[in-house]
Amino acid sequence: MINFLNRSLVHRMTALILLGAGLVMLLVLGFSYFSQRNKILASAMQQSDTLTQSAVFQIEIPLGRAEAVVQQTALFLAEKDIRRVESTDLIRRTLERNSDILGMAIGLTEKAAGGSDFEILYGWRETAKIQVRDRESPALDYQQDWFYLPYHLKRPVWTEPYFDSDANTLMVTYAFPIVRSGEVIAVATCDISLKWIHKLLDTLPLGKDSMAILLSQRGTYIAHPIKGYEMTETIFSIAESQPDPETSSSLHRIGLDMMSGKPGSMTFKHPIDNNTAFIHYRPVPATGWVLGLIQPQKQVLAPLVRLNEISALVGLAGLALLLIPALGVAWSVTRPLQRLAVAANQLAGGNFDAPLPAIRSKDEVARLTAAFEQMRCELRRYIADLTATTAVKERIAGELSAAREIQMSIVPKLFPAFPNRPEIDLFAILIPAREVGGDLYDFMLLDEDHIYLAIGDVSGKGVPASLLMAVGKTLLKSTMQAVRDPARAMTQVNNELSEGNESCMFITMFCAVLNIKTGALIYANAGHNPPFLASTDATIRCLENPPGPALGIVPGAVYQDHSIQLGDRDLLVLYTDGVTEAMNPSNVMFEEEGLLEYIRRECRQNARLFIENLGRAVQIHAAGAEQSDDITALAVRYQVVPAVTGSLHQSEMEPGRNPDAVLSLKNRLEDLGRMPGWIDEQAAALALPPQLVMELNLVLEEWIVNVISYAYADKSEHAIELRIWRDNDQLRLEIEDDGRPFDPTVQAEVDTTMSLEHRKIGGLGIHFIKKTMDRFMYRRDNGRNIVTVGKTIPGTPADTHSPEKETKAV
Amino acid sequence: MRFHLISLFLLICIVLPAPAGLAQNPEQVAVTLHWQHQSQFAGYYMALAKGFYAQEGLDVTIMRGGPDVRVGEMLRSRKTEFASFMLSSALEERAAGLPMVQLAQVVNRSNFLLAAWKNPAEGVSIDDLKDLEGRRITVWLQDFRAPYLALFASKKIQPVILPQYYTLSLFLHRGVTACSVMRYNEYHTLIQSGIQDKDLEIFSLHDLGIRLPEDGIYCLDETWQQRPETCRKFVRASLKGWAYARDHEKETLDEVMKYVRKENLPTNRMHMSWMLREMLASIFPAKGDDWIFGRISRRTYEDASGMLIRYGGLESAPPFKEFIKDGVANND
Repeated sequence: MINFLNRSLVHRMTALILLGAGLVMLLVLGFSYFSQRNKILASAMQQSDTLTQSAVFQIEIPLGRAEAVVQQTALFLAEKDIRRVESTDLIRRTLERNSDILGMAIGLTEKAAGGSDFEILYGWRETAKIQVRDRESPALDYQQDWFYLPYHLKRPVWTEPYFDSDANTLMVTYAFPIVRSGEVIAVATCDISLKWIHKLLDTLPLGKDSMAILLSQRGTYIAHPIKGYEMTETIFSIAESQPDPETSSSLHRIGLDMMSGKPGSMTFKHPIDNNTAFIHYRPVPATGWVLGLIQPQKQVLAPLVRLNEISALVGLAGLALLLIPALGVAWSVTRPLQRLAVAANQLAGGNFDAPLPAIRSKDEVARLTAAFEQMRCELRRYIADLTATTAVKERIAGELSAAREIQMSIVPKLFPAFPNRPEIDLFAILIPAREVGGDLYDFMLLDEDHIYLAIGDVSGKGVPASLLMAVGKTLLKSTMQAVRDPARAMTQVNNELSEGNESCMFITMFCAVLNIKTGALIYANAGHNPPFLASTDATIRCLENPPGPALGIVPGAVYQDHSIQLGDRDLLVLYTDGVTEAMNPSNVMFEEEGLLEYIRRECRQNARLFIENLGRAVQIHAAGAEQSDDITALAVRYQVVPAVTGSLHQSEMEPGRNPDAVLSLKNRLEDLGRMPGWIDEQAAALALPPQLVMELNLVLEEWIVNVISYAYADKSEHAIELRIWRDNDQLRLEIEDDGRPFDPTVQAEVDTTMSLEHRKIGGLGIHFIKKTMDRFMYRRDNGRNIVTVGKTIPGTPADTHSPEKETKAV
Repeated sequence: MRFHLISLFLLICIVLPAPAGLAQNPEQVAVTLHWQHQSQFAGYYMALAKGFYAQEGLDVTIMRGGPDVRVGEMLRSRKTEFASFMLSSALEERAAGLPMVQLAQVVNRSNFLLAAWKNPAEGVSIDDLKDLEGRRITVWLQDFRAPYLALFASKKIQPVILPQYYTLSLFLHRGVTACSVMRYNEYHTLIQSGIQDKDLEIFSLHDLGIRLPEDGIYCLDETWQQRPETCRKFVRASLKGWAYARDHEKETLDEVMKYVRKENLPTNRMHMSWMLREMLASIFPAKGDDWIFGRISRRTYEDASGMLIRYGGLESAPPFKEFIKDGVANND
């Protein structure tokens, strides 16, 4: 049912309308029923009371007549001596005159009888004749109520009704004491039949199921519809016989109330049929009897119930008729809603042109349709706006990406930067943020001996920053080419940029010139993070001379040069705040400490590895947090090129000719066995002294075992190539492998005092190589490690056949 | 001559006891009750209805009593072999010269009560027996009066006693303060007339120490002498009838109502029901009661007869052995 109602608004509305109408109908019916009911009950009560009253009145008439007759007789007798003849005559005449009196007695007390000629005379009707006789056993009569009661009570009494078997009728006797000087001398009575009582009660205008009852002064039923009750049961004995204690006590209470001598009425459960009934009762004052009229409530209310049944039927028919307009209203409300639902579904599917139901009225559905129409227009406009905005955003994004490309293309990215200058190992990186920042770096050879280095950061982000960066970088580079002095160049550039700098953008910049020969570094700083200088023993200095203002802010600002002497293999690290201020998701920055820690740990790596790993370290720190600023770093290592002795040739790094011999080994230890033979062959061909051959054997074995053991991440086969040259007294060997980058020359000097376990792998071998060989070099070329060792062959003239010397001499 | 034939017949009956349960030639006997038909005599009705008499070989006729029946006269004139009497009435008859003996004491508990209006008049209240001093009351006559006189004597009070006959009308008309009632009969009549217990003060003579056993089975001494077996059979069957009534109250009540309707008596079933219950309680000893079903002890007899002599105007009482015969003997 609930499902049925939930499925359709039509069902629900119809049900609600019918329910409402039904409730109103019930209320009206109920109200009318109860108001009518009380009126009807009140009127029935009134009727019943009137009826009872009139019945009592009718009962009292013959009783009153009998009382009057006996009273007259008694008064007459009280005046004189009571004698048989007169008494007999009195009885006879009375009976003749009063046809409703069945019998009459005059009884003298024992004492009075002593002074008279009779004891008890009784007259009665025998067929049409009246008989008057002496009672046979007066002693027994004296014990009877009709004599005994008035005698002792000294007042007239009605006896309890009794069944007289001679007259074959229910009778009652009125007995009147005849008192003389305060003493009862005789009793006069009359008997009347109670046959008429039933006739009287039967003629009462009662309903079908109503009944009249008459109780004696003892509560005994004189008249009752159930004849068996009469003269045997009392209202209390019937109460006593009820199995249900409630009915019993209620009946008992009614009995007590009825016997109280006052009129009244009561509602009770009728013991005969267990239905609610009303009883109305009134005493019959003369005898102390009580007349009761019992009406079943059902009977009283029957016409009302009938009327209500008819009303209910009419109401139900009305409800059925109401169903038609209710359905009509429900349909008229829901049909546009259904059409609207269809349109809404089409709209949801993207069809903005689906027709909406036509608006014909001004009701809620019409307002909903109008609102829906407006929503559709708004949606259309919104989608149009969104399309336009998206296009603009895409254009801006395109511009930003162009700016990033400009930025990236403007910084030198070709590494190794100076392939022909082994003194300089330089690498730089710029990782742009998603929003283009304005970081820059730059370097170039100013001449044979000087390198220009710069790093900078433009304030702000986006296209303006990248443009200013391009300007600043170009300007500084060209100025440096002209003036070759960082302070002067920056002073000039500052003036250029300050001029007309309405947007108040600026560039922090560090600019330096490194003398490759001497290691002297001249630099100036325009508000940039001071670079760090790390020496091979991992001591780090900060180039922290007071910096000048950032470029582009203070026109006419003058920048100071500072200088510092770089030691052999010192590493200079330039960076922007993108490095130190890189944040992780919990907003913890990488900080200078992080950078210093990194430098301390990794400063012996070559520049490329150092920078690349720095970039990685910063990214690891960021742990996926979005990069907010460009990350830029530049490292340069200055290496003192050993003084050119007779045995050292620059050209040895890049031999001009093919090697005298080549051996290719697999990265397998078992393949190592081929090497000694090859060395012996070369020793013979190149006339190498046995001492050297032995050393070569040890050096090569040491190195190649290192390579086989540590260089490869995978287990596949790789080639290790050995090349050998001899030029006069110079012997040169190259070992080339494609393993991971490893520069043995920058490895820390082995601490031979440490125990073997604490030393670094390969450390002792490298130490041995350095001790044994005169030269020991490393380069990374095209993804390959190339280690070069050289030795001056002892016992050969040092100054002969040296092409280097010749060149130099030239 | 005729007398001799009867004597001979009786002699044969004594010498040759009729086989019990023999339906043919049952011995014809009559019992006269001392009042109108009611539950007071339910045991006899049931003995007859359930065939207990027939089983003993007796063909019993039950005759009612009432104000118009003199039961002693019935015995004397040999119209009835057996009779039901109150003990007191029986002793009076005996004292008056009727040679009768008791075969069984059926009712041992006394049902005599004195019912008084709690408030008989303005400002008077009856809470104690002593409150009846000098007030008008009605009490039955003759032997029924003895226990009340004994009571008043023992409590040393002197009410004004009017005669009480068959109804309680005078009391109900409030013509007297108190009246005598039987617990099984008139007391309930008061209740059925709408009198409530709260309006009455009830004094139980039995509880106040006046023990007067009531109904018993009696016959002429000569009957006992000549036909002791017949006497025993009658008593046995009658007591069996009472026991049956005790165990089948509803059936018994139905049987009582048959008698009541036949006589067209102005009583009702509820009243008979009450009477039956009270009778059974007076006949069968409950826990704590000191009598034996159907018997009277010598001491009770002597106490009762003494009381009747003193207060009931009884001239003399026969010795226990002479008056109380063991009609129940074979019954145990």
